[in-house]
Amino acid sequence: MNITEILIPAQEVAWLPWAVQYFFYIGASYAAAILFLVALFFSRQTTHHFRVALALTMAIGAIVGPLALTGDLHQPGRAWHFYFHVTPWSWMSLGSFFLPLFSGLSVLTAWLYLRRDIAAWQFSESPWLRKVALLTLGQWQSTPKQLLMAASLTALSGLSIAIYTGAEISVIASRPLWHQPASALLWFTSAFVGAIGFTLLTWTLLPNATKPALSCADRNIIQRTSVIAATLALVLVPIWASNNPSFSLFADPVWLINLTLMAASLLVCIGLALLFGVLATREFGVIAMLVCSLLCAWIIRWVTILEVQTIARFDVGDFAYQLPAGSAGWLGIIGIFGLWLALALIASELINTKATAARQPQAPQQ
Amino acid sequence: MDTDKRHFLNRIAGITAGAALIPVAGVNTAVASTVIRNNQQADRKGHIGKRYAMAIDLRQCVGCQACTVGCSIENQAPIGQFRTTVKQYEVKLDGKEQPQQVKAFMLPRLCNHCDNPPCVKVCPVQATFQREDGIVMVDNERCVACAYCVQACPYDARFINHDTLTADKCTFCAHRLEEGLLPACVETCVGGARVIGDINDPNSVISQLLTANKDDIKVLKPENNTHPHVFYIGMDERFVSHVDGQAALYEPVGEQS
Ligand code: SF4
Ligand code: SF4
Repeated sequence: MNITEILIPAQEVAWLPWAVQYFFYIGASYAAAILFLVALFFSRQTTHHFRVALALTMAIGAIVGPLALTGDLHQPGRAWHFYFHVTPWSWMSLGSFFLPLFSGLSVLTAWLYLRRDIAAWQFSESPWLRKVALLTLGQWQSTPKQLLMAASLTALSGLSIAIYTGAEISVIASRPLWHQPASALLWFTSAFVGAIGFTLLTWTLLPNATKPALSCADRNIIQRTSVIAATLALVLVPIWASNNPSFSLFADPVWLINLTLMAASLLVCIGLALLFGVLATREFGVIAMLVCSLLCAWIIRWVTILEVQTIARFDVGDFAYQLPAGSAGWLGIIGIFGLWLALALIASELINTKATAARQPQAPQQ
Repeated sequence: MDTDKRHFLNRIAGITAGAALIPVAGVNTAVASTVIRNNQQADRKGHIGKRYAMAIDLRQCVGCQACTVGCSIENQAPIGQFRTTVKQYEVKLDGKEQPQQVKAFMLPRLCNHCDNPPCVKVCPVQATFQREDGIVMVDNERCVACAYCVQACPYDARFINHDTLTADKCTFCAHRLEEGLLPACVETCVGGARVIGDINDPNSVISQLLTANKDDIKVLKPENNTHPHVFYIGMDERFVSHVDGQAALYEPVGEQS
């Protein structure tokens, strides 16, 4: 018996690239929150600038991510319904509480950490720029204890984001590729790869004049995080891909390319991370590492969230998806990345005063 | 970006109101696997005591798409989006007979008004709900169009309506049932293949039809444990869970207006 489909309407992709973007930025953000706490514990060994880069990755991702997420609601003006009709049995509803909490804590922690740098603007020559110092909201000193407390809470809250985002999608039984622990674990592990990418990007954006090289501890954190996270993700890729009963991903030419891309980008990240001791001293090396890490985290999310939706649940499929040019497609992706970059550039200027330089060497924060 | 900002602010503004409720209510209920119907409100009950279901006698279906058209006119789904449609297949039979036997297979599709509807469980704002009479509805004034339900439905029965920008699906024409009318698809079906009624009433036409054909009734994807309430009579098991065959040309581009 030989069946040919004659008349079958295609099922549209319902979660647009916005969802991929959300997972991309928020993943980097929560992973950076965890790494920031680690860097804070080793504050004698890590450099201030590395910690600034982690803190900004955490805070900016926590601002930009939710914006991308509201883009995925076709009725963004109704987002308040989440708080008016609380639904504790829906992971998405729980997320609507976890997410603003995390965003708030991230910004708070980054602000606490950067307060001394912000305060240094009071020594600026320009009277206008001196006003930036007002962002410290008072003259009080933030204590290392406060900072550690805030960073720990933020890291915990970051875990709640990791859990809810993973659970939200993996409860969807209608898609076996999502409905497995491997999918949530894949997003969690690769989130750290993304975090390293964004942290190195932020670090690169920090003004060179006052920036010391990455310390041995900084490099260790970057190297170990990348190697461990990418290796675990690499192990998860075939496990994840085996769970598609309707057809074998490994036998499908399009999916074979997708899987190869995922695995190859992870392998490249592992390779670069192993060489990071050498790469870290060259600007080109750092840029190569950050570009590959960002691409890797993006590819994994694109394949596991967007491409999966092109697999037909009942019909033969595949319901091909083409990235549109408009705001739901390319424009949205570039726009949100532009926003991220703009925020990172503005924030990195915060530690760009002569006054900051004057207070070097940086007093340890703890 | 402006609208984004505004919505984001909306969202932030709501936090204070809801923040107190998070953890305690959350964890317990999130792990419970009881059936969620979201129908506590009085106006979400429907006809208490009844259980609407549909029987589709595939032996009567000729694939004329009258139901598709009837539904589109009644419910005004945008062009290219369907609350119900009839999927059509060409089936070449095995065997030595020459010329080879080729048959058509028709499969009318719509929301199954499942008794354990995964789409209802996931909705973060309880916009989608199941009435006591089994009909699964969407309150599209409340729906935030997150498409979570679209993902959760294993039957591709839901979509985000391009005009209303909210979740949309078959309602068994609840608005017509209330007036004592049949759903548009049932009314237009030329072969009488679609029968709707109350399966709690043993004397209803649907109950009798199902009893008479009780050895030849199938539902789609029974393994998903959703307990669909659209019952197919004369269904080939090769179409029950996943079609294994050659793909159609999806979304052929017709004349653009
Ligand atoms: S068929 Fe889909 S939309 Fe309809 S009740 Fe079942 S799961 Fe929900
Ligand atoms: S799209 Fe609407 S009905 Fe569906 S889950 Fe989201 S809010 Fe609920």
